[in-house]
Amino acid sequence: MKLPMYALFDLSAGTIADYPIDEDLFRQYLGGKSLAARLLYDLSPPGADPLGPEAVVIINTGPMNNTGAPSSSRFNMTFKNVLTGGIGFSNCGGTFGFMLKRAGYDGLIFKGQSHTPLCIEITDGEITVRDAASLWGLDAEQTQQRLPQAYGKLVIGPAGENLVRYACAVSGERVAGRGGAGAVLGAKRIKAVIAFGTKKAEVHNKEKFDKYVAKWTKFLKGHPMTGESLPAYGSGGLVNKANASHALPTRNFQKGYFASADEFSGETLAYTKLTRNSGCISCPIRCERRVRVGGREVKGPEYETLGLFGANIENSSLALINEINYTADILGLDTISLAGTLAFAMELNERGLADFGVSFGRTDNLIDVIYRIARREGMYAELGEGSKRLSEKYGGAAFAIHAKGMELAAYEPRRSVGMGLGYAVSNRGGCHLGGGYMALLESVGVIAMDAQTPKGKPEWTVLMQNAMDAASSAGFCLFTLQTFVPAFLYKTGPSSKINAIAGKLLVGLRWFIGKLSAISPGGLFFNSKYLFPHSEAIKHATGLRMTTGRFLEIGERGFNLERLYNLREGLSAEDDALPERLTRTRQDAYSPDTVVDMETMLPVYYKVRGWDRKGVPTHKKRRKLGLL
Amino acid sequence: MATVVYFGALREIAGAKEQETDADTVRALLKQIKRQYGGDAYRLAKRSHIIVDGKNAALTGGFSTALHIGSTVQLLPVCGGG
Repeated sequence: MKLPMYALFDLSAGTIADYPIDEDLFRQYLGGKSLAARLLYDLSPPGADPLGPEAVVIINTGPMNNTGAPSSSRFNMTFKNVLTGGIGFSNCGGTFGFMLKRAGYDGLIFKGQSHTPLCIEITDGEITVRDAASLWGLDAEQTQQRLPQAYGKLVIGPAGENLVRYACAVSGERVAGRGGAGAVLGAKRIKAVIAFGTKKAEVHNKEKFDKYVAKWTKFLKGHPMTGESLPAYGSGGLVNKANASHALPTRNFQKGYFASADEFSGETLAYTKLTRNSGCISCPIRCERRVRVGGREVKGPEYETLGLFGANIENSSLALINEINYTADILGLDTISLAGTLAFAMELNERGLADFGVSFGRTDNLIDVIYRIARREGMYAELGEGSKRLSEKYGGAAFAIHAKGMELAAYEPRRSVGMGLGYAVSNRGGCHLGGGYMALLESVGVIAMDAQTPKGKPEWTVLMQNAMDAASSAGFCLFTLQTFVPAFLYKTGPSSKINAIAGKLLVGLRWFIGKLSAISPGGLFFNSKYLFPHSEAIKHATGLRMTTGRFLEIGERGFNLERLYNLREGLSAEDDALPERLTRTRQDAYSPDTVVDMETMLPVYYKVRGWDRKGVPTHKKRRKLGLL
Repeated sequence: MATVVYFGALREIAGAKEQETDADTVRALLKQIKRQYGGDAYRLAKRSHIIVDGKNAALTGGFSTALHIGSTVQLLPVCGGG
């Protein structure tokens, strides 16, 4: 069995050492965010400043990277979240993870702090640390242009250098966006990490693996979601559906409907701006949009960016969103937190609480403001702190749209209440993916699960979170999970009787779904292409005795360990919350169920998780998962 | 009369963003689309998210959902993301 090899950098001492991962850790956590959570928990002291020398930053891959498995080029960053003070992790596509593996390392661990800017270069097992003073101050695009073309690159822009709390790290045109991944690198003065290698992945049973990969790839290409919808419209295709369901955040989540939403929808993008679609290495889905900005072809915006820089600030110009998306990427800013913070600042202005020169519907100065945030110029430095800290200074906590300090994604949870629960309990704060992405089942997907009922939402959230964490830990893109919704439900149509029955079944099966953790791994001893195809691929690639149950247990273990890290760092059940606007104010004044009913869902969620009433994993749960 | 709003490929086929319809149910509307634009358009419409007056038709009677004078029906392609 090939075990992961990491490199441990002490930037204060100037040392580098190999850091092998033992078999026990590999079996329990695989890699990616789950293994990184273990390393962060063990290697960083409690209470560390996320931007201080004692902070630990992990950049790692999973066992499936570089194997040729479909959609397996994702890499992970884990660190102490600069916005929340809890766990921070961010996942990114592109070529860096692939190249890091080919260069001979599965992960990199950074501690300490350099006094001068650094570029870390890994070439076929050789690590070189170079001075990067000449790169400091450059944007992410300029930086990458000055680095060797063949290398996989991970860099920061000015926002990371200036420690904007929601600065992202940039790899090619992809980003590790959330929680301040760019800021933690900036604090360590790491301007760039680049990797190149020629080493092919060692696969345990190549014949079976290759056969299964071919079968799975064909399945992905033939599934209506991964074979048709995502390639045709990208994630932006959700804009119109979210809007029609009143789930598109509008005017800082005051509403869920924006009359001009179609002007920046995925369909409009596809018909008026798209030059072509593209994708990561080994990915058959090819969801990436390519658009023109300033006469050049660049990566286009995802759904989150379209929604939050569209309806949520009352802007209907797709051209401007494309420009903002490009600008934020090269400056190294997370578009979700950036847009959320700006929308909050707009409402502060509207209510006369603070004036940062931004207001709903005003777009002429946005690019300039974004540059000033990245540079932390004058009063705009405060916008680089995020909406929670702004609300602590200027008021407006009831409408500062974050969870644990991190801004929410572009699903209005009052029209997708399970997604609301997910935002609140997501370990990294207001994130749809960390929250289990219930919006897929409730408001934007093909199954008509009642979006307003709290019933069944805690149980499904736990299952989805565990599955997503497991897939991430292996190095897979989360889009590969969306095929668990059977293809025939796309053919019968979302409004058919059978889809309505499926929606009711999701709620009706809640007791069984809630028991899945308890019966895993033994009770789910099979693998299925139609459920989680990942587990069979992991089995053939690694030699691990992987089943659906073990796969889900890896996700559950990682999720619980992240929770334990959050508790250790001072977060508590009180932080599993949403702003009052979403829990107390009805989106539709005449519909009592258009609020997120946390009082009903949270206790059930804790119970299904095997946590006590204070949201602490019980001794029994920790013992089962090996987390004592 | 109700108003039907097309999105995605259906808009291309219909050559219009909106049309008036005298159909009194979603099912009747789908049949009308089949007569007017053919089988491919019908399949696209049937496989769409059908939103009637802001409500998901799947939760209000499916294809039997009634259309009233002044109703707005949106036909949206099924998409994914995250």
